[in-house]
Amino acid sequence: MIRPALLVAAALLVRPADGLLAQQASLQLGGMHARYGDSLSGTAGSLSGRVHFASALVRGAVEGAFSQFTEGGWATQGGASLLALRLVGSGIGVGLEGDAAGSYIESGTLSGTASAGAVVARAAGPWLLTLSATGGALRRIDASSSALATGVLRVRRDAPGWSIDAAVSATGAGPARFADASVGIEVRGAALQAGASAGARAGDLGGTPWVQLRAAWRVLPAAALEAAVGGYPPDPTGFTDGFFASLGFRVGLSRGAVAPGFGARTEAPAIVVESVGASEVRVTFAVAGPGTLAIAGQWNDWTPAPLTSLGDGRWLAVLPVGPGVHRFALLADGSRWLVPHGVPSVPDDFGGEAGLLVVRH
Amino acid sequence: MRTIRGLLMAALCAATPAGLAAQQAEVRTRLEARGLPADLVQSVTEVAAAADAQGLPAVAIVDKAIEGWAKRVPAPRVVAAVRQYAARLGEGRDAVGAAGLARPPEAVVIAAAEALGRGIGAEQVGQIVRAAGEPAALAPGLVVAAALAAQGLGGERAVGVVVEAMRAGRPVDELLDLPSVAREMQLRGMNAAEIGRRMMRGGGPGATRPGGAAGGAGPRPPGMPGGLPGQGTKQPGGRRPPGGA
Repeated sequence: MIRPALLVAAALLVRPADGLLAQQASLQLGGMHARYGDSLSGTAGSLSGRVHFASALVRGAVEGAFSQFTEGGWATQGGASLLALRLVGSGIGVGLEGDAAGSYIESGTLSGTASAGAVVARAAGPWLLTLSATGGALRRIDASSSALATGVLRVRRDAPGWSIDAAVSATGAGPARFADASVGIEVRGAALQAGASAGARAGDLGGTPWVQLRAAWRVLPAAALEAAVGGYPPDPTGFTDGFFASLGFRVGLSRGAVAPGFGARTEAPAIVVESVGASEVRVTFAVAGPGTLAIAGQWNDWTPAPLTSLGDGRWLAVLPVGPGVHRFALLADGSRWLVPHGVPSVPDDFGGEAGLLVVRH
Repeated sequence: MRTIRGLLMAALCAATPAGLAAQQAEVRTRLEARGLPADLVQSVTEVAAAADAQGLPAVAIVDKAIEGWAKRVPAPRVVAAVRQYAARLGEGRDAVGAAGLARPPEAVVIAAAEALGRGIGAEQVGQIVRAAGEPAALAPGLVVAAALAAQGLGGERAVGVVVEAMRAGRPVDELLDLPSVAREMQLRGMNAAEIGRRMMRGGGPGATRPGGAAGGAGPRPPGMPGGLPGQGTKQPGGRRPPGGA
């Protein structure tokens, strides 16, 4: 008999959200071992699917998983999340977010959460600060249910090759009240991605701090080995804390879904501009290939100034420019002028291009 | 009309030969310092002087010549390019003036010339001038329109995007983001019509900037295979295993 969850997962994977952009669909086959805090443990084979999508205003994800335990019995999980954000001022965005998640165990245990709320985002230099408040409901494994309210303050920085994320949150789930703090870091190479997260909880459902490690190795253009290990805190739906270890093989089913890692594949942006002062910026370019790279532009009478290689095709320059649009071009290996792919440009009137370096106020 | 104005400016400059000579010397020094050969320096200095006599930004012409020389463009092509550019600066100044800005700042004239050089017509330049709510937005708006046109949106669509953004009261920083937003959409495989439609609808800046909107949620902490999404808020990092044992 085909499991209903498998049908849902298959439907999600073969028909990813027509008309949306950047769809990414992937399928993972793996195994895991988990130990629950109440001394139960289990080993299972799992099949999971994931679809990410993004449009100009909306981003979201749908995921589903089916697990068959070696001791017998099976379980399914599914969930979806959506975030819509619109810029309302310089570096300020407001929007709505919502998510729902659920688990069903063969024995008949059904649990899940659903919530929605508002989010405010503020970009401050290279940092992104978000504040969200959501409300919803949860159903516990004992079939009881209650209201759910959560507030989250998160700060995040994405840079070429790495990102860092820290969050504090306060949650009210029926009679339970607790606060969480977590921090995570991720590094990304051409074929290898690794990350770590850690957190602690105070209040109800509190316990020992948790740590999770994960890594992914892209072994083929559209396939990656994934591994994760760590602990997890108690879940307000009734699962206790415990330990897990997993190993899987993920295959991308659509463009951009190679995803060696834990979510959408992250491309290094072609250019990252960070203000250092009123009239100085730190610029990082992503240009693979050349042995040397120099930058020239209006500010230095088009005199090529060498860039510093950061490895992985990333190059750093500190430029004496203020807010505005500045024409520039890069000189590769002392002989070839170029504008990095993905950087806005205009024709230079000489048959080539001039890049536009935008420095925000 | 332009000829008359040019003659008047030339006469004015002739009446102050010391100032003109000093400026020409400054141009010449800058070009020589950058290593341009003497004959090219002479040609560019003449073009710059003529532009200055017409009240056009000579500094832009010098910038253009230096850019060409730095890129190892042959001298005759540099001269031809700066002559065309000087003419376009005049057309840009006229286009902005026809839209009601009688004495535009140099940056606006340069930006208008950039727009005209990317297939944006004089009337469309005027549309941007009239839509700019604040003077500081005008030059960036014109440059952004030029960049969008150069990125394949076409002049009409590019101007439409900028005008809509200006009318919506978007600040200058958001205007400056538009080319990057368009580029990102292009990299996602969208065609020009779709990009223009989405951007005119306001779905541009911020929402699609890398690390922008979804960055708020961030990559959720990992955990179990097929772990539940959205638990970054209610269960930071604490993905539980699928099902019970």
